[in-house]
Amino acid sequence: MSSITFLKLRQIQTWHQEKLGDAAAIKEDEPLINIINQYLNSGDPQLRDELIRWMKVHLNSFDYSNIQLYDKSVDIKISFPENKRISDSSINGKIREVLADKEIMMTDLRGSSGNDSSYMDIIIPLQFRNGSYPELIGVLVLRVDPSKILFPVIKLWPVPSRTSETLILRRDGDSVLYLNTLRYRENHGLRFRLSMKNENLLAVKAVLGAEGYVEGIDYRNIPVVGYLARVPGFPWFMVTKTDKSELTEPLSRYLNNAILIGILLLLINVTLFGIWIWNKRLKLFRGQLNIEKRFRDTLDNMIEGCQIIGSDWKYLYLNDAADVHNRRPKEELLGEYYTDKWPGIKDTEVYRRIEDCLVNRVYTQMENQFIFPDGATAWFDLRIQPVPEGVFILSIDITERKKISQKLVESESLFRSLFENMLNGFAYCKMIYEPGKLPDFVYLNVNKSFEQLTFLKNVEGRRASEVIPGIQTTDRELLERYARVSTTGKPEVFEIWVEALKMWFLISVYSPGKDYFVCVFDVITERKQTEASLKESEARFRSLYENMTIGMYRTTIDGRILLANPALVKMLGFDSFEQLVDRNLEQEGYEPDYPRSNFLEKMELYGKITGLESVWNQKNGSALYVRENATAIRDSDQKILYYDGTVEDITEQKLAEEALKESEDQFRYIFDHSMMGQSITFPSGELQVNDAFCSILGYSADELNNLKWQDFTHPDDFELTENIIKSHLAGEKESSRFIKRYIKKDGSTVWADVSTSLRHDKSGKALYFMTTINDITDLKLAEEILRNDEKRLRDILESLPQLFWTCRFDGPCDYLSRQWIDYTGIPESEQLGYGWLEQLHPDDREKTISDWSEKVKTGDIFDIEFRIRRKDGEYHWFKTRAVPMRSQDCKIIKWLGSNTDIDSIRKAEEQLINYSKNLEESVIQRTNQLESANKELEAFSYSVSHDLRAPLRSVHGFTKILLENYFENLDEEGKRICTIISSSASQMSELIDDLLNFSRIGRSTMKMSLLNMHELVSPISSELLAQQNNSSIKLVIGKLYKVRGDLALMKHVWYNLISNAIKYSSKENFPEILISSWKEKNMIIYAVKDNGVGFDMQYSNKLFGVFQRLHSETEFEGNGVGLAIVQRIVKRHGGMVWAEAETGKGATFYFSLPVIGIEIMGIENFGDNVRNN
Amino acid sequence: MEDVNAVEILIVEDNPRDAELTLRALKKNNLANHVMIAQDGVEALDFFFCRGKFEGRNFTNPPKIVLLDLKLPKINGLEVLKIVKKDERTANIPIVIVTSSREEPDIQKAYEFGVNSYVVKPVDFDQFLNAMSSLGLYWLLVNEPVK
Repeated sequence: MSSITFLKLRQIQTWHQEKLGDAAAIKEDEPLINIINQYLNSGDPQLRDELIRWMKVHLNSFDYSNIQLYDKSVDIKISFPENKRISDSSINGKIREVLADKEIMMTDLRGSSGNDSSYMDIIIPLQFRNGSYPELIGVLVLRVDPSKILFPVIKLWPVPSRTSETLILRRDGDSVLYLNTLRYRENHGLRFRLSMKNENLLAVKAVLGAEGYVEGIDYRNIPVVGYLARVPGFPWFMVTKTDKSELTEPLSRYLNNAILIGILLLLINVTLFGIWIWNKRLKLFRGQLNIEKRFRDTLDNMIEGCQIIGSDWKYLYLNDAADVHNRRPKEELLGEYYTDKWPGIKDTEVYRRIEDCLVNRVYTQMENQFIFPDGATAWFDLRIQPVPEGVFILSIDITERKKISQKLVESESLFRSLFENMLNGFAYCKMIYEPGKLPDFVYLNVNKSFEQLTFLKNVEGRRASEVIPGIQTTDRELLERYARVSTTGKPEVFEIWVEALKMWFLISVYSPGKDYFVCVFDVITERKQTEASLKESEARFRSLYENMTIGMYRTTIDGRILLANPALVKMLGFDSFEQLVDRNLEQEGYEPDYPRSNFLEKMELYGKITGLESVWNQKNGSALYVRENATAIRDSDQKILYYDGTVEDITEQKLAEEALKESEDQFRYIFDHSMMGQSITFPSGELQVNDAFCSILGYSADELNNLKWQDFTHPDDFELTENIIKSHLAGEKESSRFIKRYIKKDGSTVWADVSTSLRHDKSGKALYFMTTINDITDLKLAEEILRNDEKRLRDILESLPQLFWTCRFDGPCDYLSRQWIDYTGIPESEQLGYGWLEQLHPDDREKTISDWSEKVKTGDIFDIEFRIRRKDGEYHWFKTRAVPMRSQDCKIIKWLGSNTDIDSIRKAEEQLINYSKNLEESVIQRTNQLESANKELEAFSYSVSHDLRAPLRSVHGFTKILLENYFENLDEEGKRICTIISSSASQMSELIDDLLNFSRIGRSTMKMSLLNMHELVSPISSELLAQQNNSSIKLVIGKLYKVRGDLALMKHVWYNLISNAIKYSSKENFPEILISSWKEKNMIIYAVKDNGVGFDMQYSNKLFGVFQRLHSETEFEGNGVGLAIVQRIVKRHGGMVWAEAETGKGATFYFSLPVIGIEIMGIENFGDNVRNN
Repeated sequence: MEDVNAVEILIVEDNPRDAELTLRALKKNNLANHVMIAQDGVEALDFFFCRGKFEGRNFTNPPKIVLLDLKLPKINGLEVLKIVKKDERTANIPIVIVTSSREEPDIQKAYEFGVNSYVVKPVDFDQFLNAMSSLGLYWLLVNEPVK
């Protein structure tokens, strides 16, 4: 079995390396990656076809089911075959991993949810080498179909075995996942898994790390023997197993089978992997031939003891482990009789079993405690199995295990008795949650004490709600705690009153597993009750003690303090009684001006004192007023032993009395000396007044005392005064303030600001009026003047076009000018406060409100523009400005605001903005149009330049050839026509050149520099003159200003103008050309004047058009592009071109160029005459 | 077909009439014995790099002069020039651009890629003859190629 395992591991390893090798080859395949890169960049369908062809070939050569190309943003670019597209998203995460670390990844086997197959993926990062720097462009995912090679390799069991099978497993959480196809069960898409809890499963043993030969059960629950191993390179485990029943066949046959296995395996391998691994397999083959020896070696090296006893009871074979188990070397036993070597063995079960096996040829197994001759004992697990030679005994030492299980049994019973006998209650319970119901639990197990403590009987298996009805509602907290512990697993210890049982419990709860809990508890009701009653009495006592305010003492006659209660200690300002003990009342307890002799005298006289008020010294020296009761305690001889007394603190009372007295004095003083007139009027009509009151009214205090208030009140204010007095007497008012007029003794009127209030005694009876009057006559006069002023200002204000308003310091509007009311057509009352906001344009309100409230806060100037609705519904823009008016202490008193109608300005502004916006947009649009037109033009002229000339050349060339080669065959007319054809072709070619020139000049970029025009013109003139046959042309170059311009373009200008001048004057008898320049404002004007044929000015507008000519071809040759070019160049320089002429009297061409900067001003060149001679 | 290893002048020209005129000009000077005409850029490159139908050609027998038109089907003249001049096996073959256009960017690019000469084909046949003859005479008889 180990050989098969070994072999299969090697096969899996070879297969794994082959996969990785293929992946590495693809990763390094530069031409392939090149194509992929091109495809990813261009999406070229041809490249796609090429890639799909490659995928197809690759797919057929290996065991892949699908190949997919992803780009680096993990988008699928190609999937082949399309119908097997990988759609699970889990692969994307893996791809990102591969993209990150650029290494080939082989994922684990997975089952696909969609169909019944399982698969694994190889993800290959693709790096395109662009120069030396590799660029990551995507990944290839090769999906391996394990059913093609991997599973067959594992599945093929080459022996004629009924039950053997090889499994590949993986641990998956708490279960074992079977990866390959199984012999006895369907396992499509990795759906078959078994729990790890069944430790007898070979699969579980394998996953837990066991290796080598193991016994157990398989997934059918059938006893099997297997060989376990890890699969290198994968998180997999391999189990190679055979049913135990099959193994009980004779060992020799088994051995024979092993040899057969080797040969068959070899054959299968050869066919499976082909010739290329032949050499490797040859090595393996040699190994297979030695398998019998290897099997024996395996037995020798096993940890389990192996021994074979012949039919004649002689030892035939023993391995090293058997030596240990037998505690004597094999040499001592081999060839000896079993019964001889173990005296007394015949009476044992072991002997009986071996005999049974020898005779009946049946397999048997037992656990046996073996007693060695020296008396020592050991436990063995023995498997006794018939073999042709006799019996094969496999022994496993289980002494340790036996010991442990024995201990377990002991400790279990110990704990059980502990649990049964402990004094604490114990309950093992399970929580029950039912939807819509309060949590509940069921008692699974309780101990005796539970019943004794709770008086609940037969609770096991019953619900708490059944055992203790109502517990769910009355003791919700308890159930919540149980639920919490059994959910979180955190133990809790707590004391709790269980209402349903009327008991206190101390409970400790822990949870052995989710939803289960164990509580150990004690009933502590009695303790709690004792505690509670203790607490209650203590509280009562403490309250009494703390609330005691009367001091108590006992002193000696000579003033030493024997006892003092806490209240007294505190009263005297001490912290504890001990501090007080040192004091002597006789000497220092009383205030200096209150001698203790008073106290002593009275005590001596009456034996007791009640209500004695005295002043004591506190610790900090301040006075303590006390009221004291004391008794003298006498002995049988009537001698005073000590004094017992109580002391009441009356300091506050005393101080209040003193303060009252003092304040009365103060008020009296204020009354007499106040600048305000003050009066006190008693119901009797008696009047007390101060000096100020007298001086305001001009009467003396005595005179006033004889007058009624009506005597010195202005008759117009009688009613007012009467009403106020009445309302006060009726108790409607506490106090009132008003302005009234008095009549002075001299008959004049006094305005007064009057405050009055009616004082009552405690019972509510009216005592007297207290009145304060203030002479405000001057103020009243000033107010009158102000009122007049204000009216005048308001009149002015309301005649202005602006709208005015004022607001209170805190925001709300308190005045709106007439204009505002007129404009809005809404009454002021509706707009005051914040009503005016209603008239604002809805779009402006929010901003106005926030701005206004901010300015009210900061006091900054309020400056805003908003729209106000006119009464006809139209909105006008207003500029609004408000400034705060401040008091002397800089506080804002009011806001003054105005609104100016800026509607027309605003509208004009908006229009302007709109215009410029539109303008900008249309400029951008035009620019774009121009740019694209320019591009088209460029492309057009390029192809004109190339393609239009070739046919012309053919026309010209072949006509020439015709003339040359067929000269004799052509008559004169034919020859003439040929000449016309070729000259037309030449002309066309020139036209094309000129046209291209013209368009190029418009597009070329200009290189501006300062041009010395004289140096420019001179050589051009000489060159042009030299081309002429006519030597009589007189060409004069005057002074020419320097100017900024593009050298090449400016050459064109001069060339065209001068050649034109020469051309059109060449037919004159004395052709004269004058070139000159002058400054005019910011321009320099250049002129080329000739005395040639001139032209009619009415055609001057056609002069500068392309292909526009004023003369026939026969008169003057040319195609009419020259001046168009001139105009283009000059315009590009920011200048102008124009001409003046008269038919037959010559022409002058002018062009102007702008002066830029100051560099050329004053730099002049005086020309010279150029002559063609 | 001409023996590809004996070609002295390679004309790359897609317009058969222009090619004929060029051939005629060369014939007048007895220079047209070893002339090969390639009709597009791909064919020209195949010739240069001895592949396709020119597989039999040898790199050690370069033409003495290549007359290369700019506007060509498939791969244009400037691209052909760039590829040929970049490859050290062909960089020394003299190439003259012969074209109808005198577009400045074309001329600049051609020199940038290492052209040996840039000639604008005149429309006038006499001038054309003249230009082609001088070209042929110069490169075949006067110029000393790399050995």
